[in-house]
Amino acid sequence: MSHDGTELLRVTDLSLDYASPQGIIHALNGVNITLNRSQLLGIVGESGSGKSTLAYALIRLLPRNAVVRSGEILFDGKSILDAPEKELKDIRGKKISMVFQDPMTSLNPLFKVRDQIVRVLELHRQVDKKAAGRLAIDFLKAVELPDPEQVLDSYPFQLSGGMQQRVMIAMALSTQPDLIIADEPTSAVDATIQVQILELLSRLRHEHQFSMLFITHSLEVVSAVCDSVAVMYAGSMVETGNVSDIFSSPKHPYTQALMAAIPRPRKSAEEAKRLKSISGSPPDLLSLPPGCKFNPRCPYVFDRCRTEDPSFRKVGPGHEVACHLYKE
Amino acid sequence: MKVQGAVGRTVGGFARTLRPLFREKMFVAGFIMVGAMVFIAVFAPWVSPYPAQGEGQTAVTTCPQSAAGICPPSLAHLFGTEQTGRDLMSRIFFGIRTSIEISVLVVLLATAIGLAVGLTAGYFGGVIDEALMRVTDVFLSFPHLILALVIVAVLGPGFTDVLYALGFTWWPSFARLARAQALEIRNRPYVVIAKASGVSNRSILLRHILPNAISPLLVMISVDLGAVVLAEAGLSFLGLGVRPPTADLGVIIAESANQITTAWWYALFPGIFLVILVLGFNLLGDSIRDRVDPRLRGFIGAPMGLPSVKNPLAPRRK
Amino acid sequence: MTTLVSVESLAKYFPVSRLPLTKKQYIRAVDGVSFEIGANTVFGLVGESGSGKSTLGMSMLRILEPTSGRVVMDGVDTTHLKGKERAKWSSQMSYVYQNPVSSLDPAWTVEQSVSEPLAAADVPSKERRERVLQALDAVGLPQYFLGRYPHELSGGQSQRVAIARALVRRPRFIILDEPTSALDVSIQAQLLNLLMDLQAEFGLTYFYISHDLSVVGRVCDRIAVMYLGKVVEVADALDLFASPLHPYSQALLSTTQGRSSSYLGFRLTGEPPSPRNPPSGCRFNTRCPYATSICSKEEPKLTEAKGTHFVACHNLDLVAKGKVQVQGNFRPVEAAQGGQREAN
Repeated sequence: MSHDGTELLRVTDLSLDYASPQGIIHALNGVNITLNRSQLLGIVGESGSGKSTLAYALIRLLPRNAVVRSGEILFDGKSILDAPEKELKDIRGKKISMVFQDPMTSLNPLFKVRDQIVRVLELHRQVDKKAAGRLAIDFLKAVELPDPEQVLDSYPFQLSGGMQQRVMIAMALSTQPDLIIADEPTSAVDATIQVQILELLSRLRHEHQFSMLFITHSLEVVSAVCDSVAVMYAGSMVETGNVSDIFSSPKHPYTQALMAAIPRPRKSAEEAKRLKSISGSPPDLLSLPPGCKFNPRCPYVFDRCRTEDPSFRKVGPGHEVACHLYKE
Repeated sequence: MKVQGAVGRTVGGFARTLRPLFREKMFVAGFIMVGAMVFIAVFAPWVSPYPAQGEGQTAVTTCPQSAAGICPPSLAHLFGTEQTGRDLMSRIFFGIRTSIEISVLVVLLATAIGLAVGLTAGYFGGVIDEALMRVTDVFLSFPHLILALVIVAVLGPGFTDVLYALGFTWWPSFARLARAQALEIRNRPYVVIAKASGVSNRSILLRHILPNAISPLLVMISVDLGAVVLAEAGLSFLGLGVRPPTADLGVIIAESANQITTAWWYALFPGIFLVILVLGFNLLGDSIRDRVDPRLRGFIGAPMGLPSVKNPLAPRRK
Repeated sequence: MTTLVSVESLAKYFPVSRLPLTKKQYIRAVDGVSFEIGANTVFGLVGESGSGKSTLGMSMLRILEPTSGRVVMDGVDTTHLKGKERAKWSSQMSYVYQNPVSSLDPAWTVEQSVSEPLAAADVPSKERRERVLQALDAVGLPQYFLGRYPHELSGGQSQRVAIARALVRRPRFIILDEPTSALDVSIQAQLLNLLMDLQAEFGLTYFYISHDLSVVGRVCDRIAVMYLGKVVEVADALDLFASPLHPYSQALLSTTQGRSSSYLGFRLTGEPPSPRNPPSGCRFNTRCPYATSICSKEEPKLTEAKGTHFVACHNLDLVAKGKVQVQGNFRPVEAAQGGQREAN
């Protein structure tokens, strides 16, 4: 594990709702995270878990119908929720960069790559066009693009998905941010490219010393690249800890169920094809149950789960669970 | 039969789009305006103070002030009278009826032709597409004014020639839009799967393509209703449209042109009503357009956009 | 094992419009593909984007008309059937598409969507509702779903409706094109279990197209690996995962967890070539660590390596011995664990 002790990001008890015609959507419910410098934290959850909402809340890029009910987001000691827009503009893209899921829609199809990456550099690094051009090439090299000059002169549609994503990463890196938030950066690319990009991110992290928040639905991706994991369900954190701890002994029933549901190739003809699925259906964010949000589907549920929302408790060094099964 | 299903689904779609729209102020305003005008049009004989005069039967009130018979607004004639002495208000109300009749008929005709041509061209592609689109191009290049002149010259003036002149020039833009929709929808998985299951082209066109193509056309329909009213008024203004004694806003405005300095009411009132009518249609169209756009991938019934909330995620303490 | 569907040298080319006087060019999306699918089995097709796997699925069902080659089902050549014959055979094969939301007409209720194939087959309307209910029941959707619209359904429910629609004419063969890629892990598990149950219950044969190796490795009995329009390897699933013989298969399998150590795992470098301009000879030669001079000249044929395991490669012996020829194409990966942690 390679992060120093300094805290970079602290989210405390964040609760966020969306107003919708159908009612109030409780997207985040009392979320807590701590991220240290140079730490790579993976946030894992399925749809409706709130992971993307969390990512966007960190840079306050949420839609107009989002309402923060409670909580605090401290980045480098400063409150994100209270900061004036001017300060935020300084943070977004510069101190915190984002890499989005679909590079096709993240890059402007009307402009060449050069225009886009140089613009970012001019804006945030205060360099002139020439210097920006040189820096751009450096960063494109850093993301292992074979012909940086050619890429700079191309339009996004002329590049493959994998190359576009590398360009996105280069742009995110170029401002030398403290934190990079990646929202499902490899979901839209093939397996072989995905693996390349994940290894690239790992390498870059060591070279450039940034922290990373990696949002994904895939536990496998997290295990490939992250130091620590936070598992989310229905807007709440259910388990956090080191990747190795969580993978070797997941404590929360949801984490366990999630891992059991992942298909793995069969090793013998006797092995059944059936997978262990999670009973019940995904949470309805419009009407969440009282108590632990996972209680309708939990195989170990008991009375307390239905009335009391479990707090986080330690189950090992750096390993915490929000579940009544474990002693506080 | 299957067509009924298609119509039913389309109407259902209409209803689903329109219901949430009532939250929008613009829509409500437009709806009220158009609603009022339609009410007047439908109930003209009962709402007009002098229905007989409205319909054009000979007037006439003798007017003490002016020899020409044009009276300013008075208690007897709230909007005054026009040059033949008929009550202006009644004339206007019946004129609105004419305008709306023509505009609805024209737009209906244009939509029907446009959908038929456009959807067929877009769905089948190839030679059929090329042929139909060239025909469309020909009609697109006809300015309705010139065509109206020609038709009037051939058939003589009247209600029907306005109908033809406008109807034949208005459908191409509907066809273009319908074609663009069909081109996109035919590649959607549910259409592809239907084809693979052996569903006939006719069935696919009527039951899959048509209901899903309607949304952008709704916008065009509502805006064009207003545009046709204006076009028709314009034609009538030039004398190419309906003939007296049929009441018509354009004709009234034309007549008022000479007397604008002396008989201010003559031009003002028909003008106001014309504006309300067209503006109402435009507001309807705009508010529908804001709703029905590619954001709503899928049918109009999809969860609509979110109501604007008073507290966006701005800094908490400001 | 009796063969239900046999694909023979199937090809699908897409013309690329060029200027009138220049030679016509084609995208060879599927270029001469052959394999056999046994009755009551799950046959998997893996490949990345651009491999042509979706095109292959659509060509087999004649959603796209094949350019050449044929598809034989139960002894009947279905590739050129027309009219009534074709209609009869179309009820034997179905298709389930990847994205459940867009595979259902948003203007149609569930009942209408599921009964559409029945209407096309002229099944009397009295019978239709009964069969729709049966199909919905088979996929675990209760009756009140009949009147629902797609936007009122979740991803998993929509996909169940799509499956019900594929089942309603009681086909024997279903092509599933990435049916669970758009779904969450837990829903995917439910749906895969459902598909397996349905297969057992109705004696179905599946052609399962996916890029997800773990899923394919789990549910498939036999797997074909596709690269740039060609099938490079066909083998029983367990066999393929235990010892993949083609370098591309090895690279693909290197990305999965807990892979076998019978081969040298490696990462592919660079980007896949565009299907417009495939490399000459063996299409994989530009990225293959074991490529030799023959590879860019001659296309290898799919031949039997051992038993029912087929491969198309010139240099199987080099691959087996791990003698890398082109270092630039080889990025090693740790054995067995593949550099990733394995969950218990």
